[in-house]
Amino acid sequence: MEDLKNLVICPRCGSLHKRIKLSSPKESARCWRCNKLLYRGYKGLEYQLLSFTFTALILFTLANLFPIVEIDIGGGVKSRMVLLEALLFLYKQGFLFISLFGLLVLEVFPLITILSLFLFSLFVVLGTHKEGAKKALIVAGRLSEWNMLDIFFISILVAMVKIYEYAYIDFGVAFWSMAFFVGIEIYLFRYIKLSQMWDLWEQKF
Amino acid sequence: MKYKRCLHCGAVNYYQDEVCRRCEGDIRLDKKRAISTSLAFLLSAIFFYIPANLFPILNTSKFAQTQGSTIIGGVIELWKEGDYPVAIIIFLASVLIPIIKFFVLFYLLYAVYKGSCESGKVKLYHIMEIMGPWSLIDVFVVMVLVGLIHFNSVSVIPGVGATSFALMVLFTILSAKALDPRLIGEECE
Repeated sequence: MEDLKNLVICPRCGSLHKRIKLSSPKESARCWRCNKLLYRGYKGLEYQLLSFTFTALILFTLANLFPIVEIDIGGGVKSRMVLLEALLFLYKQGFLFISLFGLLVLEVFPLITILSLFLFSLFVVLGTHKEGAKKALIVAGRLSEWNMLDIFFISILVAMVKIYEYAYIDFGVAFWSMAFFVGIEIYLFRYIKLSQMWDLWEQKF
Repeated sequence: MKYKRCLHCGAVNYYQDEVCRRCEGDIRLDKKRAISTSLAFLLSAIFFYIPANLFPILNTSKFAQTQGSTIIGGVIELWKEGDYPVAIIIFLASVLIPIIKFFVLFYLLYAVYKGSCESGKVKLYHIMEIMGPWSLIDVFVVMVLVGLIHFNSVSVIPGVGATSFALMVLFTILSAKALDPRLIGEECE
């Protein structure tokens, strides 16, 4: 009987492969049939994850403490938007569902996702808490599907296109923090991918 | 067919297993359950599409005069003003794409039901999966505008349509998630 750890199934076409060990970070394994990427040969992935998630946590804090945009419609009439304030305002207007939904997909889920990924990489680096690392990775995987800060970021730009004729727009610290946070998120979940992190967990413990 | 892939973590498991050996996720391949759950969410999404287009998604009040604007109304207004490209983009993104998504989901449901195998359908599924949440742009734009524009003279308040629109997108995402891509083509050899 073949050891399941040494097998890979292509996520695109379902072909079965035998896992081979890659020796250099430049190498990657691809599907023999459809050429889909299966995994890469990372070195010290846990350190990369640790530094990226730590940076992301700082950026997330900044993105929530400072205003994202400030607008000036002339005559000294200004307005600024802090994400949590905007959600609270929506709630006060009686839009319970949208404000709650926004709170979850823009604040709670992104924070817990990155926090658990941070814990995961910390556990892997320390080489302890096998079960804790697994739990953290499960949480990160489930919640990352409901992470919509990237869409919100594009929405900010769309909204600015709608009002740029009437107001002077100033992007705040939180805007740039959010941009880099989204960038890190995309790198972690779209480039490195969760399956690679699971492979790391399997190799280390 | 001896093995199957876990959708959550990518681990290879034996075909008869119900729980992933690595991430403990549910890896059952249940055609009946996938179809009925997905169909239920899809019908809910179609239901919410109606109020999402009938009611204003945005209310603008200028000096105590409130004016609501629906998606279609906004498109028509932009068209009359001569902003053809913007009008077309909003029409495509907010009115047409949800309908296309409904049709694609029905088509994929039918494919799962029939058990037909084509790699093109898996591709279609993955496009649906990635595209799904992006329809929320409309809702988030309303959120940003509401958060920014509340002056004494002018203020923007979300409308009932925004809630319906958000619910519609949410149910389409859930419907796509309930469908198992392994049932469409991955498992066909």
